[in-house]
Amino acid sequence: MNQTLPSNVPSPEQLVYIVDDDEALRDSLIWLLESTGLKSLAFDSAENFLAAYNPRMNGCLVLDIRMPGMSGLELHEKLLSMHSTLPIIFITGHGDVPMAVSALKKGAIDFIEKPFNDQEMVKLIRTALAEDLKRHDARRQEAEAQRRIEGLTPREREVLDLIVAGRLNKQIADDLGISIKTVEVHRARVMEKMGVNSLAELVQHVMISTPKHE
Amino acid sequence: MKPIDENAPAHRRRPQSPVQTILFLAAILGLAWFAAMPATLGAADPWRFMLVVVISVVAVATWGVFTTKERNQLVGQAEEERDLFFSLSLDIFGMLDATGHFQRLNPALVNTLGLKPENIEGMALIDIVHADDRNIVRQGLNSLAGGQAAQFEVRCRCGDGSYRWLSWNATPLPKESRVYVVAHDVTDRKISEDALRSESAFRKAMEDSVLTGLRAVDMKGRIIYVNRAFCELVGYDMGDLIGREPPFPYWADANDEKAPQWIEPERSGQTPAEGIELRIRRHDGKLRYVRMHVSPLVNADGIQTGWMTAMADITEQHRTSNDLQAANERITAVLEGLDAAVYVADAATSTLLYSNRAYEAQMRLAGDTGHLGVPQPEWGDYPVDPRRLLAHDVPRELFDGELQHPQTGQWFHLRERALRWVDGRIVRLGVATDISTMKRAEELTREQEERLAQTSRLITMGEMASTLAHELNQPLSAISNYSMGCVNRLKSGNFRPEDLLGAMEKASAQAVRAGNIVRHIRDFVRKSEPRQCLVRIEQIIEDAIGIAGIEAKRLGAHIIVSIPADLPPVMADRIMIEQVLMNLIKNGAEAMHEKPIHERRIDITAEIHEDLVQINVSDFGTGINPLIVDHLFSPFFTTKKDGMGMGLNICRSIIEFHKGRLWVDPNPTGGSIFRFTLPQETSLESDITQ
Repeated sequence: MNQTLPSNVPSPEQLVYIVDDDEALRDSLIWLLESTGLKSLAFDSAENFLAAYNPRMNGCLVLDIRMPGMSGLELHEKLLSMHSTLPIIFITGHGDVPMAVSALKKGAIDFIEKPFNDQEMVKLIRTALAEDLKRHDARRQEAEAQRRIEGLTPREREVLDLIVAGRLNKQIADDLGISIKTVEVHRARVMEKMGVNSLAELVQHVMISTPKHE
Repeated sequence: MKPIDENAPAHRRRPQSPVQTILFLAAILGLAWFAAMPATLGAADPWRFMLVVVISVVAVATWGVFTTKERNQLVGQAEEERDLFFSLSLDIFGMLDATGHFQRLNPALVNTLGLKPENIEGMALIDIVHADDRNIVRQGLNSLAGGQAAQFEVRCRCGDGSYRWLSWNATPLPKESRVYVVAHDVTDRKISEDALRSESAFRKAMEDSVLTGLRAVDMKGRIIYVNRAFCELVGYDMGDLIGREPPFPYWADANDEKAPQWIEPERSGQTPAEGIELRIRRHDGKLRYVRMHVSPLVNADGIQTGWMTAMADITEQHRTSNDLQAANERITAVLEGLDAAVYVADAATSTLLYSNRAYEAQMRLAGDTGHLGVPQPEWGDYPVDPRRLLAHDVPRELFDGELQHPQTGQWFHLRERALRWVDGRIVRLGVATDISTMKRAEELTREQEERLAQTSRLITMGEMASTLAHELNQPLSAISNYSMGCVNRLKSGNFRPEDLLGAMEKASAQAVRAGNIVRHIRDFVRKSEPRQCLVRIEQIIEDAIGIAGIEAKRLGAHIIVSIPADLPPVMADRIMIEQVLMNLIKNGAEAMHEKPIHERRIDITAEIHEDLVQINVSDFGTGINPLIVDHLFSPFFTTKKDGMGMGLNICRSIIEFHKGRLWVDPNPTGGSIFRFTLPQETSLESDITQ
């Protein structure tokens, strides 16, 4: 993984990334967010942000929808294609509402029209940051589950797949051509390795480890 | 010798004597008696027979003696008479021998040739004949030698060396080996004959050489004479014409109502002094115009025998004169039909020499007939005083400008030239056109164009509304952010005053920015009369970029302006030129949307050409399809999905309103270059001072 962000930024600390071509707007937004205790980092174009992008970025992205060069929407598309989970708030001007709506359908958190109310903006940013935290949690659990699944032996993996598929021990023994006793041993080992106590818990772990679109 | 017999007295013709007659009768009676008794006559009576014989012989002999004597007497008398006649005759008589030498000649020759007969006797006839005529004489002698009479007319030398014409009649007397000749002087006849012949040849030559066709008709109208020119004129041979009666084959209008035109003058012999003009149809079918004169033909006795007609071909004249007349009529019709007033006035006195109908109607002052009407330029308006023009100064332009009629308020465009008039004097030729309607229309057009330009600016604004709103929102958002950032810090108490100060200053700067945008927009769409004033191109470009640059930026195009520092000011309406520039910038930016972002560039340059300033707006887009270049400036022509197609059309109107030009060239490095010119202020100034 590339490390373009300073590595001393601790993982939970969130930054508001601002991408806008207007210098005054960037500068004033930083000034505003700072006054509410939010730290921010500004970029003058989508291209520059993309160059600095790191999947481990925490926080949210405040993105001007209309910019010369790569537009905000185009940057959004690019980030989606890179499986970025960074929550995005679009800043729109007059007449850009239809664009913003299509951005929402693609997963943006929200949009805010210029000139915007500062409280609303801050509120939106806080929501986005919370969402970011949730997404980070989910990602962490998913990674944990994945890590545990990867710790299973191939035979334990086969047994896990069949358990999640809803097969009984007897059926699994038949499927794999082993004894029920052996199935039970494998099953106990899987439960232990996955760190779960119930079948429901096990299924949930397997589910989050598997991206929905696969 | 016939003349001798005829002229002799009657009693000399039959000479008779009584003795001769008695003897002759006795002989006859004797013979009769002898003859009356043949039965008794015989051998028995030989005496009687002898007696008869003797009487007869004596009678015959006696008659013979008397007769011979008588004859000798008569011959001598005749020769006397002949000699007398011979000597007295005025005609020349003579005798030639067989070789043609004179044997005798009468004295008439003295009178005729001034020669004496004795000088001539023994000379040959041929010796006195003119050398050129000797052959004739030789032929005559030849035929005389053959026993034939001969007749010839030859020139004979006179004593003084001159020649006279003699007509010779020669009769041969072969038995006597002589030729009798008689000659008389025919010189006078010959001279008059020659004179007649040469006269007639002269007349014929004259008739043949004249170009006028001559034709004579007798009292019945039958052609009795035509000359060569006439034949050539009508294209018929002489043989086709002589003896013809009317209608003649060359009558062009013989079969129509114009025939009397021919017949009347020919019948009456009455033609006006200048003749009458008619058409003829030549044998080859071509029509010719002729002028015909008819006069009575009167013979030597004063009796009219017919008519003589002279006919001249005037086709060429006719055409030339027709052309000339037609040209004259045309020019008059044109001048009279013109709406423009045309006049000619004496340059020195302003006396009106010619004026057309329009002039009379529009310009002439009521009541004034001799002088120029109004409006007229002041004398000071002319480059030279027309009153002082000399012959070598003309022709020249005098005036070209617009004038208003002081009474009617009408506007005229007046153009005057000085030139030399037909009578040699120097005149002013003026053409004045009423341009009031045009002026009104121009004004209306200008008003309409201004409204259209205004509308177009509103449309442009409409098209850019969201861009402009966005642009306006930037400073407003920034102001809001800076302010709320300050408010939050003030509320929390956690701030440094210098930080707040900086933020407030920035906010203020953003308010100015927003205000500028609003001002630009307001200026741009304001409704106002076109107001031309001295403006700097740089300023207009800067203002145009103030608005169009926002749109260009949105489209990713950056604008590079490079204009010379010494660009002169132009007389223009700032907003209108700004509108043109904005349109061109906007179009250029839109033309590059398919290009990579770093290639989206608009160059604005300016250059100075003599009395013009030229501004170029170049883009590096896809360029303009050559097929549509011609339509590019047409109204309602657009290549944009939601365009009105008025932008470039209005731009061109605006530039042309400024007496400039707007056009497009392909950019050699791809894309297009729109160029427009504006007159430099300096040139305008010089125009005004002129």
